[in-house]
Amino acid sequence: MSFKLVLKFKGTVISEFELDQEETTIGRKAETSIHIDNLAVSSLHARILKIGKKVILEDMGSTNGTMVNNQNVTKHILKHGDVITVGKHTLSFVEVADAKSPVVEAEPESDMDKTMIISSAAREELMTSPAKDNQDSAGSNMALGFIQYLSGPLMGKSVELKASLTSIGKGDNCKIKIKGMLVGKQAAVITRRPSGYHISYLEGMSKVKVNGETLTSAPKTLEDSDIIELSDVKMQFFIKK
Amino acid sequence: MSAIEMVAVTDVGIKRDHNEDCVNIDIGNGIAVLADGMGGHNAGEVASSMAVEFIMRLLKEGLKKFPQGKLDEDTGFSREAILARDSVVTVNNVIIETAQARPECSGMGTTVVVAVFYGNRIAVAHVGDSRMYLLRDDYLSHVTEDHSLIQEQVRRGLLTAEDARNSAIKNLVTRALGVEQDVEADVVEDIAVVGDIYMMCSDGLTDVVPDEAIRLTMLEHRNNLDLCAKTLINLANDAGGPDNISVILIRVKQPFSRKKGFFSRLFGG
Repeated sequence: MSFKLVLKFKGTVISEFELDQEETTIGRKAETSIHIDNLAVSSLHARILKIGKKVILEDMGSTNGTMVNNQNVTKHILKHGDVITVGKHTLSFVEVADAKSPVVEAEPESDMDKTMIISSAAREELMTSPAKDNQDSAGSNMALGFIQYLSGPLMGKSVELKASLTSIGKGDNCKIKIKGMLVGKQAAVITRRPSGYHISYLEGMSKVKVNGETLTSAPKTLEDSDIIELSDVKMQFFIKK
Repeated sequence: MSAIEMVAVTDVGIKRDHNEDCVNIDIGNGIAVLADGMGGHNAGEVASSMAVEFIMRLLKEGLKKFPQGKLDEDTGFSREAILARDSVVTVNNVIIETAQARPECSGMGTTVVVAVFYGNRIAVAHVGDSRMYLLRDDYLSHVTEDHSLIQEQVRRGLLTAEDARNSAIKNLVTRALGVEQDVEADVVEDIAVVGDIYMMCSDGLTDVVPDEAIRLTMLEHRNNLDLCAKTLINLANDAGGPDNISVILIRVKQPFSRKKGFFSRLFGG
């Protein structure tokens, strides 16, 4: 199975591109693999990644956006027949079953249901290179987070979130201490996990808000620069880069 | 009355002729371990039962050696969490050595998820795609994140969670015990709130039963853990039961040791 894109402008075929690389870039810059010289196209507009048998289209933060079948997308798994719109140009995605690599029959279901281990080498190959800078997230080097007080007597001060658990509340054992009649002794907890930082509300009349939204019983993943509020104290969460 | 209630159930499923999953619980020590073995012949069973048995033993012995809930200043993790992680790493070496010594066990491996409850806290260590969920009030959340190819792609934003569930490669595990010398276990610690129900399971459940169905089942049977575990296993078998299915359910019953504030006492919160 191979893949190609057919570039068209106002319905006229301009050229065809084989997707034979792991990464195919689309943009106005001459260095891009699919170079479209039109002002409606950003210098690096989008890219296409081949991962195993999947082909994924990703908008690279273009000014005018990328559409697939007239829907705006940021990421999209391409299917045969999809039409990508970039500015005024379209790219049709075509799957070609060629003679050299005959279409492999899908493996029997029972085989794929079996859990298999994949070696680290094979895994690196399959994961290709889309996010080298992100590889830490799979490893032990968990990013370090901070809480900075944006109001109250400690305004400007930061607390390092090094521990696996950081409690917020008015109790003596809380690292982030917040006073107030309605604040719970252990009002909330921030947990540090391999998947990132999470915050959970635990107790007290005063609820915790993240970016203005009151937390429910479900833990919430904290993103860089999220605003956390409890009682009259406002804090911001940071990830150390 | 015990502070926690635990139930462990494992089932061969419909399509397999033997069960490579293994589960064990120790209510007195607040320990639960679940492993999903893989490998030819009976090697998968050997790997998973070794993992469960050895981790259980290491934890029981290790937990006696330090007071509850003591923090390790260097890492910011509790001694319990570090013990859980170290036990997993130790067992990895044992499995590798066994596989080398016994040709019939060559290539065996296993996932594992370990939970230790202490005070008002929980420490979880895991390797592979066996999971822990938390049902708190009406919300179901993931405590662990799979070490699978598909989960790594989701984390990198290449796939949505929905794509992941439908993917043909969802069973490719990127980390397991018995594969490489230096295995890394993910460790999560959290506060266990009274009323929380934790659910540990093998992928025989999660591959065929969506999270929402798990949530509704747990909500419906939250007062009867036995029935809840059996219903979850029935759901997986009704969906074809392609793999072995294991479920451990843990309910946190004992209140926090610390005193409650005036308002929470007043309002029963």
